[in-house]
Amino acid sequence: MRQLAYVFDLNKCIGCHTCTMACKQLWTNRDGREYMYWNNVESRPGAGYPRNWEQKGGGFDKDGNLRTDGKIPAPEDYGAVWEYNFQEVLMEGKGDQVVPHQKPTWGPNWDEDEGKGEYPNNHYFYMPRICNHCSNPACLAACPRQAIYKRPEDGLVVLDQERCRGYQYCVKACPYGKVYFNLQTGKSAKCIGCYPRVEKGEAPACVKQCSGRIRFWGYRDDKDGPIYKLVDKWKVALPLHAEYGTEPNVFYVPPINTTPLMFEDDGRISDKARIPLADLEAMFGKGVQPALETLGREMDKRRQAQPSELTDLLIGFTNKDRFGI
Amino acid sequence: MKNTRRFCLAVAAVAGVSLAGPALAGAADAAPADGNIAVVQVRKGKLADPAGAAWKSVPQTRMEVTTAFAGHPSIVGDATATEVNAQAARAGDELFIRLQWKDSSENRQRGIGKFADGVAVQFPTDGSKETQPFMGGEGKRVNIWHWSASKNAGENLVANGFGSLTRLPVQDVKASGHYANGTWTVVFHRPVKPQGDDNVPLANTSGANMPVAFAVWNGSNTERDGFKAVTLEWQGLKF
Repeated sequence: MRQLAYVFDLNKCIGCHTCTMACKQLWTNRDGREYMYWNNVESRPGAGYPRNWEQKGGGFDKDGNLRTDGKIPAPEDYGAVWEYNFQEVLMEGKGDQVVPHQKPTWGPNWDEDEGKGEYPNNHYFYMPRICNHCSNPACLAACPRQAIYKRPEDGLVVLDQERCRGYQYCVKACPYGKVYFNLQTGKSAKCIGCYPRVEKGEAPACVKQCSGRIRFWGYRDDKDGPIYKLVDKWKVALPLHAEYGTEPNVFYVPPINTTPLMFEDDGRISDKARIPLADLEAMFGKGVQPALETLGREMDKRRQAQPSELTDLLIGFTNKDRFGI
Repeated sequence: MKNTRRFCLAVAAVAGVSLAGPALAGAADAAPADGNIAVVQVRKGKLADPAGAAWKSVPQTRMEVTTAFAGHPSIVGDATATEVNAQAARAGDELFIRLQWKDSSENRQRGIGKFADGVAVQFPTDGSKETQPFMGGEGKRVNIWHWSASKNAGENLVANGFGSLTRLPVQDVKASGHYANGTWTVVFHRPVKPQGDDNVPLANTSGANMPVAFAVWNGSNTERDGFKAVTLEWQGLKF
């Protein structure tokens, strides 16, 4: 089976949510999917979307057995879908303020830019998330009805709306919180990797629309493509929470954690890392330090006007450099 | 206690497939006194109404239900229902089955992490007790009538093993439920003449004993799919 895969360079993400909006416009702004963000961008450190998804459980244990302790997130952990009184205020002249129809108390991206620490030593970074189109998907393993399958031609994980009966074992089992239940259809739904676009040779909407050009996309085994080079050759792109055992196919270039420099209480420059290495390792594993060292080394080369395949790759000058199948 | 029971059931299920098919059927035969549900002729009254007075004169059969054998690693937990009362009646060209069971909460809403109460009736499509009462098996299909409180309607399905449940093209199973005093009452009905191979034949069955099994889901206990309370063996629908 060929496998489509993604690399997201977190050093380039500016948190503009264009990816999220591209996905929402295309797939989730209607028919009971309104509350779903198949693509979301969360500030880290932060609770994420759905709230505290890293504590939801699911995935596989060390012996490869499906864990059944996963939780189905509460509706309020996704956030309500609130509507605004645009019509009344703007068109009918009633009232003087556009407000949501209910008081929002939580939603996706609620804790945007909050991060951790006190100025000037605070930090945060953006982390876009989609379905990981895992090679060993927990959602697939959890479905008693074989409603979820991997497309043999590209490894995309899709959910058959005809087979699904809304048991939500997949919602429970996905440790990334990336399968959702549609209350309107009574069936589950998830990112489809934009397969109708893929079938026309086009990159997924979230990838193509990314204004920060942080997204790389292609076949995992294409040695001339950016995925193989970033993941396997340069080893700077790492899976998120590999310990969940699902073999995710979205890889992240971890954020460089030492810049901007930190300050001591008296204003002198500190040699501490701004983002604690342990925090990054908790997400991306032990590969973080070597990846950051490689990035630093290659960036130094460029500062000295020497060529670097890696920095050129990460810049991704053209669409063809960043994605292709 | 329930876990032990589930384990025993699993062994029985495996044994049934490999060599003891007839023995399993024999076990069902051995308990006809409490397993048979008499189908009575009713000429008047609204049988489709779960609370209808016409049901007062129809004899009830009480059956024990217990947590089903979990056919998949996702399915964990103990189902709460312990018994189901069944009645059956024929009126005109339709067969009616009325089921009652205790459930302390009425769960009609489905939602994120929320499941509705439900009940189902299962028949071996070929009328044979050798068919596994646990969703049937390869080449041994079962016809399932399902009612969910979320839709308060019947659904006609077929299965030939775990995970194979499929909606049939012909949807002629009607069902309606009523909740009162901590008890669900649901009536299923279908024309006795089957439409299609996967629909159990119920016509021309005078004097026959049609195997039938039941399942109950308690939504508040997150019961859905194979997480349910079931009759462990085929019961008999005595025409």
